Amino acid sequence: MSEKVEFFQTLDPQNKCGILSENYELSLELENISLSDYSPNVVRSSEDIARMVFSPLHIDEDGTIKASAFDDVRDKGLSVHRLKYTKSGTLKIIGDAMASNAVGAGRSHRDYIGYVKALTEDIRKLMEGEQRLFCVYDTAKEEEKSHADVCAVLLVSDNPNLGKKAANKQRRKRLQELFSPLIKDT
Amino acid sequence: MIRTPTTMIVAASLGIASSNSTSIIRENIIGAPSSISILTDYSIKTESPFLIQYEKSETISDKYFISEKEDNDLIKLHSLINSYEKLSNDWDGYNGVAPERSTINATISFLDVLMRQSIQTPKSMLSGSGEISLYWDAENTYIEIGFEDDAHYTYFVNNNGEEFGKDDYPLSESIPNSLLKILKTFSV
Repeated sequence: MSEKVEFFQTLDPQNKCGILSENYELSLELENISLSDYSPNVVRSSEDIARMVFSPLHIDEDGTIKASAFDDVRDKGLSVHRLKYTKSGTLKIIGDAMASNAVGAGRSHRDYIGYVKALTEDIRKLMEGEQRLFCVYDTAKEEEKSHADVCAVLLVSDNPNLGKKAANKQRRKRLQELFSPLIKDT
Repeated sequence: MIRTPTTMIVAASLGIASSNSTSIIRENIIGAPSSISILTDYSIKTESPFLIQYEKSETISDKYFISEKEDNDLIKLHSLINSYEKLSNDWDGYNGVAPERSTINATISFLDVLMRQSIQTPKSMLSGSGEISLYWDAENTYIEIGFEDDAHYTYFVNNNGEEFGKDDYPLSESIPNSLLKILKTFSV
């Protein structure tokens, strides 16, 4: 295992994006490396990725996903799935399993209600000046080979009128604008 | 339903109900009328991923100082924000946490300040971190005001490409003029 992969795999899972944002150049390099032993390969810019949705609180009345649904990009990583590596119905199976696991773990019942998708290239194109805002990493899991993560790798802004928290709101709004309305997965 | 005299005074000062209104359950008058929280016991039924429907525990009088639509929108919003407290851990499927009651109260108080400024009722959203945000999203303008605790808020504005914001602005301070100016473009 390369040193860089080991570095990534030992990051605090609750703040891996926060730590990566402090290592901007390395963050970009890691996109070109498979970061998991279960990986099919790195996430291509031509791939669609999907964010599964479990709460109607994240969906507006017109089916649009709300910006707050992307808050994880700044710390834990926005957990997504590569649609290229999900067969028809796979997302629903994963989503239903996640919902069932929550109940089994003593948490309240929730339902998998669908997903929103975006093109990886569009996410990677989001910039502030000459710097990229987001990276998309191949973080396949043994049971979910399609798993990937989106991380915000630039948390501060060149705009002196935006503090870090306000900049985060800007980032997730820009990300939200790239995603489709909710796709109900049946 | 019978309203208490205190409720009538409060309602009149907020300008949202007349003496003909039925009771609005209130608690915790935390200062001057500018800081009153309106708490009601709404329950929520979720019937579809796109629409959260509410059971109102009050009715609104035929005399109000805002439009009926705004009145209904505001009640729905109050209900929604208050309901966040009932969320369980992992409510979003990604280990999301519910906001604190104090954060909810702060958001509602701020919302009431906006209402007195005749600002259009915003939408709300909730992050997995427990932050409650109020937001307005029009063609060329986006405003988001987020509450992570009961004493501060963070706002972000994009107005025709011009962006500004502020982290952890004290709730005790007047709304910044730059923010208020943009908010008033969403006047009722």
